Amino acid sequence: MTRDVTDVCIVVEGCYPYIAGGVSSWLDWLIRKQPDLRFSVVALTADDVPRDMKYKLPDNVVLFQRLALAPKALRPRLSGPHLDGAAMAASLLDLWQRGDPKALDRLAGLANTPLPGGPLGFWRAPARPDHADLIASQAAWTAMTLCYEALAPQASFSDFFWTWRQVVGGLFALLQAPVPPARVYHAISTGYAGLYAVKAARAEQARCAVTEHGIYTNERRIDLVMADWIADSLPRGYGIDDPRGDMRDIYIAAFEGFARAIYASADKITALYGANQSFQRTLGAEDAKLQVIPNGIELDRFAGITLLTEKPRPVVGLIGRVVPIKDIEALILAAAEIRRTVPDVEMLIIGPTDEDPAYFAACQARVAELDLGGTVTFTGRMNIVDVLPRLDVLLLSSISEAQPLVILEAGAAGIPCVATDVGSCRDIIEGAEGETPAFGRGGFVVPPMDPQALARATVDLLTDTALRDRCGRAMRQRVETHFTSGASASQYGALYSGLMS
Amino acid sequence: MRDTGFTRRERWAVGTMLALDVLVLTLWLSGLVSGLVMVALNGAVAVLVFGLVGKSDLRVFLVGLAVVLGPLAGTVLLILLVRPMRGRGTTPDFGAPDDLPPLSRAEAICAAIVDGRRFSPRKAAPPSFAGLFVDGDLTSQQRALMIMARAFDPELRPALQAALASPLPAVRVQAAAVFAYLRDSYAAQARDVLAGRHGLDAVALAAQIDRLRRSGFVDAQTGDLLAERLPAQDPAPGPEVVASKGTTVVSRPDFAAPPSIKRYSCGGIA
Repeated sequence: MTRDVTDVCIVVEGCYPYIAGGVSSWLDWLIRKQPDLRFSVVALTADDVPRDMKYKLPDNVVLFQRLALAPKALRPRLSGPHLDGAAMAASLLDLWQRGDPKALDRLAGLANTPLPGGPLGFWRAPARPDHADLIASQAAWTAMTLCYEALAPQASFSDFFWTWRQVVGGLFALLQAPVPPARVYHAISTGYAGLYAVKAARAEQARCAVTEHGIYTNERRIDLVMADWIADSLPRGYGIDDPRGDMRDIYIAAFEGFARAIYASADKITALYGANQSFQRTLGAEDAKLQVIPNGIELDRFAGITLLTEKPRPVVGLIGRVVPIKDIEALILAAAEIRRTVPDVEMLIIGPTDEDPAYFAACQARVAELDLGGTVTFTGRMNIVDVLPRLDVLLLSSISEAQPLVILEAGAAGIPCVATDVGSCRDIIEGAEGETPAFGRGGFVVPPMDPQALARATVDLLTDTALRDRCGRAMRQRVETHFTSGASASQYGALYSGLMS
Repeated sequence: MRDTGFTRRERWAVGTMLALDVLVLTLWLSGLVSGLVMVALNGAVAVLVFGLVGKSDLRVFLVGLAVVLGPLAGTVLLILLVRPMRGRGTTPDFGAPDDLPPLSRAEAICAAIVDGRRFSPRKAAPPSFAGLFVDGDLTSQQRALMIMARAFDPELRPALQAALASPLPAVRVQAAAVFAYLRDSYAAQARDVLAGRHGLDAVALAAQIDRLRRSGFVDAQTGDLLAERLPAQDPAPGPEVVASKGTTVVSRPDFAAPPSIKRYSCGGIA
């Protein structure tokens, strides 16, 4: 039987094809723009609860595989294989604390090598351990307690127990998962997706690339610092130099260790803009592997757009998911300010609202509190081509972005933008340093978390038609020159051919 | 021997049932038979063993019990068999854990020191982190931001502003997230106080209102509304207890698994 080897296996975590927008949209675009290549997709999810696909898989995706990081719990077996808990702990700590890629190989070996049974499994033929053997056996307990002694001996053990189970459970789930044969494994983040791609590339003697839109370790750090469900068991007060490790430190260390191992093993590491490479270098990425490939958009889609001039009300739009990282609350606060100068302004929040229902509810409450019911509207997901003609200004209030497609799309339609100074927003709106030819300002860049600044910039554009037209033109010229879909797709095509050759 | 209610033959049957149950359980735990097969085996064993002993009503009772309790039936029957034979008061009463006296303050401090969880008094006062965001290393700056998120004090506000203006994107982005988190958290607390959903006594309420108004995350209008909620006697809030200052200890049952990490962006754990 011959194996069906695809050209590229995309590995993606918590995203495509189950979540709409953002990286998922980009991934859908990437696959469709490489029609000569055959793809497989491995989607990592937190659990195996059924999910609806938000995207129809393109025709050149020949295999789709879902991998749950916390699979349905298996019953620990007394007859399970005899594992070496101390060796497991040593490898886990090498990965966790130092990001040693060889430790990943050792753990993969441990998870996949057939072993003779334990005391009650003497009659069994050597078998590969199952997931329960790896995280809920006597050996796992030994490994867990050794990790506890090394990582957080003063912290609460019961919290460590669950932290270890979550981090290590996900790790072993991916190390045991089947690998679709491919010539290149392309992970769309570090973390578990990156580890899977590295493991798969080593197993298949293939090549591995990692693309980061945002920097995964930094985003995880932020999420973990904010997480209210993590108990702080050590009263460290304001001691920056307190060496005692607590659960947040352990999670952060794990993701940093993963990233180090991935950067060390990957053949190519791409980012959307140069500034993000500093994060990657900090975690050991070698300069020779680094490459910048900016996002691009399909200009044809926006060529026929004519902005509406005769409208009952001026319209400002934010296009994005209603999630904390987009800081929709700042936009709502800004809306209250803008309304003071432009009373009939209409603020549209265009994007899916179902990803974080609690946050959406908080945003709705804030709209009600500020009596903005007649000003702010959550439209849900809409076709961007239908929405853009209505907008006078596109606003982006995110506290973290990489290279937001919506700004490029608004730019292609000639809509001026106001965005927070995150990711590559400044380069897109004001032009990169030494831009030739210089197109001028395409809107305004303001500090993040500053609703007043957002409001001031938006009011300036809404109340000055000439400025708005000038900015819109500059945006369109810049996007047409530097950020086209064709250019971006060619660079990814070249990346794949380079790796496959 | 005391009367157990069982004949000698029935006692032998219970012993045999127990032994066979142990065998069936071992087969199941070894993965040799599935759960369904284990239950079926147990039923068959119960019919065979108890079908031959006792009166018909006792037979039905024993078989029924074996079917209901599965492989634990042998153990339960053994307890029923042995229980009447035990002398009264032969088991020492250790008392429930709830009966243990609570730890004294000295014992609690001693336990915290032994466990390495003692709070260090030198780390009590809010330090000036602002300088750290000018010439500190990245790790220290990230650590300081984590502390601000978990133990914010209004005196740390300038440091947070400095972090928001940092030339390092990693710091700026994390500072913005901390700012958003604190803003939402203080806004929610202010809403609770204004709506009367606080459950605080007069002294604690005054301290809470003072803390909210000084935080810098509550606008002037809300601050005025909060001031109107100050208790009539307006007791001057005393200094905050150092150990409790801003330490948000979230309790979760020890045996409850944590939720998965919340996603704030694409490319994370779902």
